[in-house]
Amino acid sequence: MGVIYLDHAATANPKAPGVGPAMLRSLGDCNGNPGHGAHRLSVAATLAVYEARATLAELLGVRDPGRLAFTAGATAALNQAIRGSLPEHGGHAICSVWEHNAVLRPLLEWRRRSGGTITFLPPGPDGAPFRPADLERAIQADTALIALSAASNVTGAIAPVAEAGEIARARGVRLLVDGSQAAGHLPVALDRLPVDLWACPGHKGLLGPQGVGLLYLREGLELPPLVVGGGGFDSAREDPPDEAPERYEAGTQNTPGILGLGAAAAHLLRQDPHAARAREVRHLDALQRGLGRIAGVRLHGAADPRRCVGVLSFAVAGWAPGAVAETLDRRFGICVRAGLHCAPMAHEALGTLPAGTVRASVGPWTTDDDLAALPEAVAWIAARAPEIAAPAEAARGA
Amino acid sequence: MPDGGGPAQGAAERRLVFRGVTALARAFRGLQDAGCGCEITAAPPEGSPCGLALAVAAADLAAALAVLDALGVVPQGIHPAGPGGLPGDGGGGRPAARAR
Repeated sequence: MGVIYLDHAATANPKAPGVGPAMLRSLGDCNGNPGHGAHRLSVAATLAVYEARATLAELLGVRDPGRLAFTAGATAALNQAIRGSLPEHGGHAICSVWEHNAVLRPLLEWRRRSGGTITFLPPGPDGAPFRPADLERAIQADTALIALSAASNVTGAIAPVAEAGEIARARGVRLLVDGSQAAGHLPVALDRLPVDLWACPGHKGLLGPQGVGLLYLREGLELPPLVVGGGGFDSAREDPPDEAPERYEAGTQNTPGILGLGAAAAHLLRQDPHAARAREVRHLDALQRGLGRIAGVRLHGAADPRRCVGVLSFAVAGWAPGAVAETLDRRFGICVRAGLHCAPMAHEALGTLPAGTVRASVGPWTTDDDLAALPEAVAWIAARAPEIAAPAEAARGA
Repeated sequence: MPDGGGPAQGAAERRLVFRGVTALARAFRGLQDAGCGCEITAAPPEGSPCGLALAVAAADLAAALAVLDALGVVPQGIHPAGPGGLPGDGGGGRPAARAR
């Protein structure tokens, strides 16, 4: 049985061409410690890391590559941005109900610790993540941060980030965007967007390896670093470096991951982003149509695929999502994800607690055959009584 | 500005230091793209926050600085080269990477 991979929102599979060889290069002719030495292997690693950073900056529309800090992933980038932006005592933050736990948990932890408050923006109409007018109303005198996903990892719905940024800027409030489901899917020019901070992983839409992510900081914005330690320079100084990106990159970097991500970015730069986006919309439309006509299947989220990235959530009447996913995998070789997708408030909004949904997500190498296989398999499932008990972990959305 | 090969080592060169390795690498790449000869070296005796420096021929300094100014990368310091090469905290003074 072949594998039909429809879980690109979890991690891209396969990775972009060139990722593996680039990672191996970091173990060969540039296997020195980047930024931590002046010998040839260290300098080769330093330059290779810089080339990766510069390529990503070009892809993401960032003039100064130094405004992109490499992190251990989107979660690390979001923690840095959130903890570095909110006050120690009191204050106010805003997010939507669609946020991933990578945003929610740092915010909730901050609320417990600081006594601050959080406003959760309710869903907007027709599957929209929120209404900009609600954001405007939610801003208070002590609002220190607005944190919003660019696109939901549950429904794929795209948020009006530019509009939110204009509101935030007009009110003098910092805006952090979680670009985890948008990076590599939606053409973006970060320097031109009214955002202050933008975080994303390297392994999803950017098609790179796991274990590396990015934090973009707009020109002139620096945060207290979350992690401090050796940076390879100014070692006699008590404080960490003042400037990005080194301020946020204490310790030895993930050179294999960074070089792999750089190769993925180079691959994406050779693609037409608008053609890729059109293909994604077409694929999502095909999935929506195919699944939508099956009796007992309910789709969740926006109906218009042009308003979503390539992510779709659905439920099958009488079946736990975990059982659907397990059957798809075991019987049909189709890889999808089931559960809460680390976004519990999103499921509260959708009415899909506690079991969550089945989530299918497309990628650049998804084929028409893949798109036909999922509805065919789900139709087979929907016509039958559940034959596999839902695993407890899946039901809890672990 | 020579196109190919780095500057001659010794008193006829200047070493540019930067706050961090990203700024240094960006400067190196910018000069490379502009056809300016330069080398990444170990830190000069005067010190460099990131332990590295960019060596350029003294005669090419003005042109190199113009390229870096256009790029928005400002060296933190410009040091004369000492006699006998480039002793730094990397040791040995050997050029580590050379722009074509």
